[in-house]
Amino acid sequence: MRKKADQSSDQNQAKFIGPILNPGQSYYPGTTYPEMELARAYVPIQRMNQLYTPVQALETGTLFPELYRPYPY
Amino acid sequence: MDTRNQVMMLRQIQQLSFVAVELQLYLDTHPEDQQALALFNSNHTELIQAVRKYEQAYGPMLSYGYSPNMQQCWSWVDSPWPWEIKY
Repeated sequence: MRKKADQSSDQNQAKFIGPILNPGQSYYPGTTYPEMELARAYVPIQRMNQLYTPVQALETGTLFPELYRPYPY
Repeated sequence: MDTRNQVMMLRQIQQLSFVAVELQLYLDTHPEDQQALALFNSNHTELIQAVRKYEQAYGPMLSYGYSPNMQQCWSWVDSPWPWEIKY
């Protein structure tokens, strides 16, 4: 069952998929933290610098020193 | 039979293949990176040469895809299975 507020916003938007949330309404109703947002992941773009040799790369499991733990940056 | 040279060549092919996969993944997110493209291409050339050299010495690595069948018989059946090679 949808709320009245959702139905009225439907008329303004031609197409919408998924629930429209009112402020303070949680994505999953009944959760403990109503203001909780869905997760957002951030991954910085990789910058290629030095490379391992093919021999080192296969042993290490990566060609890129910047992706080998402990991360140098 | 001494398989040390065969294993060494196979290892080199594995190493070059791994570099190819790594550069492929990098290029997926950096498709305009000219340095990475050049590295991918030079590594690719090295890999193909290594595979050619291996196949001339020890027979085909794949039943099709890398090389034509150069002998008068079907040489694929003479190649060892991967699990028959002692690393």
